[in-house]
Amino acid sequence: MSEPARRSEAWDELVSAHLAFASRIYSPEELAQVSRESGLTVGEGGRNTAASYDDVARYLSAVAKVLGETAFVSAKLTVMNKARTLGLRPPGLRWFA
Amino acid sequence: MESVKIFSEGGHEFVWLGSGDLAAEKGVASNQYAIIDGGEALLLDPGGYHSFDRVFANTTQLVEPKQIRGAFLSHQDPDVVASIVSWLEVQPNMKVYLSALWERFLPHFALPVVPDLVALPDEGATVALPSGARLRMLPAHGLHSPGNFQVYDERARVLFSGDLGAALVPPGEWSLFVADFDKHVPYMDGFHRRFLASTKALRAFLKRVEGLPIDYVCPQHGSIFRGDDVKRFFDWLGTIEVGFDYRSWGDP
Repeated sequence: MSEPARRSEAWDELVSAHLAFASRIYSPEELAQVSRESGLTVGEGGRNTAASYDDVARYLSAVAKVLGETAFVSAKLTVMNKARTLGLRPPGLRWFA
Repeated sequence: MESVKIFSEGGHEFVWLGSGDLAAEKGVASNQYAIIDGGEALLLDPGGYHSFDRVFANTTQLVEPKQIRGAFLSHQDPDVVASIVSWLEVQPNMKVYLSALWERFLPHFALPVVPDLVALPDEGATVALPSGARLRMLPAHGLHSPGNFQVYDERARVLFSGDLGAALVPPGEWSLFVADFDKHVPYMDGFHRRFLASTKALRAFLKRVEGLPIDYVCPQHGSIFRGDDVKRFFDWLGTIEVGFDYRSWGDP
């Protein structure tokens, strides 16, 4: 099986993939709080300023803090799934632990 | 491909929840279904994690996320269960129906919460829906898991058969409904012989469903049987040897 092409510029898509789902089940206020906590700016349609692995990790930490552990586990799965689809790889051995 | 309503009458629906990109869903093409009744949804084998985005999107075109009230898990396989953590995020209070045999295994799917689990006893159960329609959770142990159930929707006359009837259809030849039963048999044969545990279990199940009015058999993989193909399918099951009655694997 061939490896997916690697990309390095699509970290924001990981966050927007989660937001597409989360916007259906959380209030705008809750998601705004996640955005504030993560330090990311989120705009229309889930566009956001995540530009690195660390940004995505901070976003997931914010999800855990604001929305709870179930949301965190689910968000991590969404992000990991999207990352694999995009061919994105985490630096080192960490994988949004 | 988007959802298809297999049955729809008087606020009771049996819906196939679409298909996704095989590569994105990790090469395991699986069917998910929902029974909609009284505006509430019960998911049948909601799927592995890689199918979640698609199943969630298609389900929420039918009902609001908070109206997803339950998930039936025919057995413990990851392509059946793994998305459950996200479904519990959507609806933390949803009921999860699963064989009591697998109750202690469910938390191993990284569930951070304790779900409202309905641990099905070996003999099965009947569940009443808001409209009064009834679902029979039929024991199908050994087909293929040791703790395995199927769902018979009495009103829709649909049997959700889990992995019974599963078919590995070559890319490009799949259709939602079986188009040519004889051509479909080779796609089912290998799976049934290897994955089903015993011929005895299979024959016992056929006896259990004998006489039930069934218009559709909906498996978790492959294509749906309808009309005359339902009888052809059960007849075929009555002819095959499966599991270690068929052969043993890996013995010297």
